[in-house]
Amino acid sequence: MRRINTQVYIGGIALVCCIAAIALTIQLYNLGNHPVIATMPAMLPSPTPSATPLPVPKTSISTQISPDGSVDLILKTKEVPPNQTQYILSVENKQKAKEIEIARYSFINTEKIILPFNAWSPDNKYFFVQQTSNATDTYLVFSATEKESTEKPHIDVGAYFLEKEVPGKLDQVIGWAAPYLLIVTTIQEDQTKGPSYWFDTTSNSFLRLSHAF
Amino acid sequence: MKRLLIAHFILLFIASFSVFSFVYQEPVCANSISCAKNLSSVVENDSPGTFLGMNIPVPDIDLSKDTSKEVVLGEHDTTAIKHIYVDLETQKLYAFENDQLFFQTLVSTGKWGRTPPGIYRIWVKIRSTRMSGGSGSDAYNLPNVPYVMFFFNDAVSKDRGYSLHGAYWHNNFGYPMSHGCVNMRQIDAEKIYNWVNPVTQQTTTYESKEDPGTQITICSKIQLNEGSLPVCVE
Repeated sequence: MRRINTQVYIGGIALVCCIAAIALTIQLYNLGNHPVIATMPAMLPSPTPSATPLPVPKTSISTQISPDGSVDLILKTKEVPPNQTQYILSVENKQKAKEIEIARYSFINTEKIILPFNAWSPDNKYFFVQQTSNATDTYLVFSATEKESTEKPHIDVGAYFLEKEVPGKLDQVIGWAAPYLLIVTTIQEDQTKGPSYWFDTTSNSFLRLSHAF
Repeated sequence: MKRLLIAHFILLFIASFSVFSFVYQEPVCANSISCAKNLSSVVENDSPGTFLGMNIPVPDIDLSKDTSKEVVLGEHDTTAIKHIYVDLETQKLYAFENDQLFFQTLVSTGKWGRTPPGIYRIWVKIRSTRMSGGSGSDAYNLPNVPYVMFFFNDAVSKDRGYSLHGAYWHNNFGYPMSHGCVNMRQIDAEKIYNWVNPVTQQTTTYESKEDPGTQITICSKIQLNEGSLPVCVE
């Protein structure tokens, strides 16, 4: 009888210990999942690290259609950081849906290329663009049928204007009088309107006109 | 005595004829040779052209590919009042439907002969014709002039031959280049030709009572007004 009571007693204590251990384990587990109680100071969330996005170079496209609508002159510009812009000139035949690159240049951002309204020669074989800068403007003439090359470079009207020592200052190239004749206006030294010229793209020569544009 | 009388009579006749010839001058045509004599549409492919004393390549016209057919109903508001304005100072053309701007572009008006300001009406449209005139270094003879719209008013009669039309021989729009007509790029002339009244029926289309021609106002200077029609300020 005494032995049984001892065994019961020991068994009871062991049971209580087990239950206590289980309870403690559960308690400790739940404690770990409980939010921090208010008496503790709030902790700021740690900042999520993120990559700084790389700047996307700006691109743009401008076009000038030929007077008969059959071909398109396309100018694509793309910023080239830190301070340059790339210009790509191409021609697209609308019917054949074929695009030919004619020329590409990179300039510092103080220079740019503009497509004039009258860019196309009347026979669609040539076109001219305006190149502007802080110093001076010039006008470049390209063949519309093939990429420019060393053998067939573009014509720089402004350069020929200086080379041929045409009086006054080149003001503008305004358009085509005929398939190979560009119309050039000038300014005189006193800043008044000067005479106008034809620039013959076949001979790179200037012919003074009797009337000014 | 009789002989003296006859001699006096002959002298008087010669003097009268000379005075009459001096006083009466043939009205100036926009195209001094072709004028508006031939109103049939004429396509002359493989014909040479001359302008400013130079040979000019003449674009072919293929009428089978033409879009200058009767305007599809619904493409434009056929009840809209259409009006064209030409500003001689800025060399711009504006096309309005009611008070809404439909289209604008650069043109070339008269350099060798001034385009006369005024309010006109289109009386005939011709798909293609030959235009010739000028003299000396500015002589021209141009076949396949496309999308011709002759206009007139009480002061500038039909036989003076003033018109809006396409021009393939130069590309200097925004500056006077013509002998009186209003030149446009071919694509612009096609657009205007297909838009104006009378509605295109054939390669030559006359206005009628039921389909009067679109009005054209040509001014030295135009002021645009938002929400209303432009006005001539000069």
